[in-house]
Amino acid sequence: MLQILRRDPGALYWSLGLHLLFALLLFVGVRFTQDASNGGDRPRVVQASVLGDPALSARVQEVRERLDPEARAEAERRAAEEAARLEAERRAAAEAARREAERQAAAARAEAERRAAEEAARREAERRAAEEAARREAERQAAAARAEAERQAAAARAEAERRAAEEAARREAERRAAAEAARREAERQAAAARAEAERRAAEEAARREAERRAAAEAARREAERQAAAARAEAERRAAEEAARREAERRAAEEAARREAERQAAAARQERIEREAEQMAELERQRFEDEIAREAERLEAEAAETETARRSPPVVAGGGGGGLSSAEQRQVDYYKGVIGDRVRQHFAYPPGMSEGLSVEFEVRVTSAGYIVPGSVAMQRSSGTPAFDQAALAALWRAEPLPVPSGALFDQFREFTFTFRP
Amino acid sequence: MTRSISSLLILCAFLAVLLPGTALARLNIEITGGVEAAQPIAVVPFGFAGGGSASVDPGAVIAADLARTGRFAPMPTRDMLDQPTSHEEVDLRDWRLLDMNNLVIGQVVREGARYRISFILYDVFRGERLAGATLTATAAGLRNAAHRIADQIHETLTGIPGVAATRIAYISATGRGENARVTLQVADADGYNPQVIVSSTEPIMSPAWSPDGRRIAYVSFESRRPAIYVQELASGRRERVASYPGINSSPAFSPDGRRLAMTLSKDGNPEIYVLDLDSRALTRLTDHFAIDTEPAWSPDGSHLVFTSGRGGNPQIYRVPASGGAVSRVSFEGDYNASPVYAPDGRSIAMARRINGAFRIALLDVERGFSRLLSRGPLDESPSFAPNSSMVIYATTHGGRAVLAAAAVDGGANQRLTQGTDQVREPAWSPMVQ
Repeated sequence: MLQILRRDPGALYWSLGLHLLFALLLFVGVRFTQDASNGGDRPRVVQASVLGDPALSARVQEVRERLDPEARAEAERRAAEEAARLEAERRAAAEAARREAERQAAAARAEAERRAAEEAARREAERRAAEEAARREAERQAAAARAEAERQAAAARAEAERRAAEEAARREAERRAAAEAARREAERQAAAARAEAERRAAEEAARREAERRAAAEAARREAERQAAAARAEAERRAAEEAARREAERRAAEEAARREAERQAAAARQERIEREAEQMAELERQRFEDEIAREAERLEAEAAETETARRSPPVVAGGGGGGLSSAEQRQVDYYKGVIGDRVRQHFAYPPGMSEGLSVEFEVRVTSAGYIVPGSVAMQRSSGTPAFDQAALAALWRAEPLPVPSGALFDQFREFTFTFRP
Repeated sequence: MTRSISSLLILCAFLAVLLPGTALARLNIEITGGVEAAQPIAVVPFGFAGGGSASVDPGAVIAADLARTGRFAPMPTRDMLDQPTSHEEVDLRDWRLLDMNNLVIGQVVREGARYRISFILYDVFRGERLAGATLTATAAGLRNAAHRIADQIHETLTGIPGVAATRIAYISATGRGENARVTLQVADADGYNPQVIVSSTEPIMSPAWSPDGRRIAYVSFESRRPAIYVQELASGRRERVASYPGINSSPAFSPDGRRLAMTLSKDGNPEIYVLDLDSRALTRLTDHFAIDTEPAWSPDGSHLVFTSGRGGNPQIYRVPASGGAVSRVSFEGDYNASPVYAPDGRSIAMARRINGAFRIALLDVERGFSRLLSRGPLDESPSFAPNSSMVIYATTHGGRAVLAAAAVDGGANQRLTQGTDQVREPAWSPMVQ
């Protein structure tokens, strides 16, 4: 029923409408048969009575069944048509879907094929590139090997050629030398035969002449030898004498030079020692004076303290502090000059002095000389050659340009620090 | 009594006040600057006692050794005022006048077939004896004794071990054509006392010392093809360690002496390999179609430097000892070859072409700058002294191949060999025990 409704709602409405009409006619007592009997052939009595629902339903059913075949056929036809249409549509849709699927499948297949083709092409290109690279590498290696082989072969060939050439040259030279020797030998023999005859004749004459001359020559030589011996003896004596005198002169000169230098050194040493002594004496004197002065001062202070009952004033060290700014400038000036002078003589060993430093304490005389024995190395660089170069610079800088007069007090003692 | 006590008290009080004052009065002068210069030293000709005469004056040998370092300037003997040979004869004031920092005197005493050599080194300005010793030697060992004295003086004064008693190996060639003779020789560091180690009519090349100084590796063509041999100096026993097809060249011992770096072309073109001398395992370090050759180890054995043409012209490159990435080391000049590391690892010496002339250059590894050690025009094959202070190299003089040494810190370059041989490819030994 529902299927019919779905397929053809119009048929249902028709059917329901007819049912309702028949029911209405039943209730209002319309007599179809009577009308028909009135004009018709066979009267019929209809026993009508109001019945309950089942009866009505049965009646409706009866009527419907009587009336239905047409409608049902119509409905069935329509339904069939509809079904056919729907089936056609479904089939069309299915066909469309199939075609779509086929199309898509075809497209996918085409795409896959395209990709595969591309991949294959790429692989082919790579393979070709690799082959090309391999071929080039092989060619290059072959070329290198060929070049090396050629080089070696060329060297070997050159060596062989050189040796062959040398050998050939040597053989040619030997051959020529042999020919030359043979020719010379023949000539020599011919000449020798000729010479032999001449020689024998001459020999006899010569022998006689020689004997005569030998006697005269012997006499002459003896005379010359004696004269020469006398001359040589005289010359030898003269030369010996000259050499002795020259040696003596040189020795004397050398001795004089050394003596002079020694004396100079001694004089210098003496002067330094004298100055040192003088300075020591001066210092001793100064020290004593200062002790005396300090004693006096302390005594005076003690007395003052006793009377005034107050603490003593701060006292500056003897001759040390308390420089005026003018004096300080002078001290700085001399420090600079002394530093420059020492630096000029500071030549340290090459390539090994980086980061080294050495410190010396020295005392100097008023003339600027270093007091012997006053040099003290406070801190070694650890490298003797460097320490020595620094110390040598100090000695070579003598006399140090120290100030004279009262300011010298500031320059008695130094600490020198050397860095490259 | 009372007076003396009070005087003492006063003195103490005075000193307490004065002493700090004295300390304050001392001037402090700082000397910076100055110049680098060879240090003046007098080495007096040694005395001789015991009959006959010494074949060699140790004093002259010592003076030459010290001069060669570039750190000392020995005084010419003709300028000496006096020539003392014993401590009693020394008056240091003389030498101070002559501006000498140091004085060396000594004696040779003959006792039968042996000699006793003694010396004293003085600090002239401080008047101290810095060193002294007595050595014994045969007549043939006199020069060596003098070298050892020179080394002792050098170390005493500079704190750096001397290298006068070390040795050099080199290749010498004489004659032409059929008389041609090639020898591997070992001589004292000053070029004297040469001894033939190997002799051949075919070329010998590239001598290299083992770190203990007992073996030498070299290339010989005696079998008509190049092969690398390792030979013990004392026994003369030797072994062929590499004779692959093609090139076998440039052996170099590793710092531990167990491996030998070399150049082989057995796999196509010249590459660097390392041969384990115990296991005979061969490791390839480089792989490039350009030529790679002349390997040299870093002192710590971590990497090697070598010559390669991979950049278009020969330059120095480095590669880890276990193989790996190659990096370029030299950037100045269009030709750098024959690299060798200083034993202290601070610099690399190499042969460099500058304006058409080949000169020895020294590259500061840490700071990257370099300077030239030699004047050219045909200098090659540098090799460091074991104390890193000198470089020996091959050069030409009067059309002949000779050896010369240069002090790394400057100073004169000295020729080491005389005679008529052509001398090439020097290799300085390690410290000799």
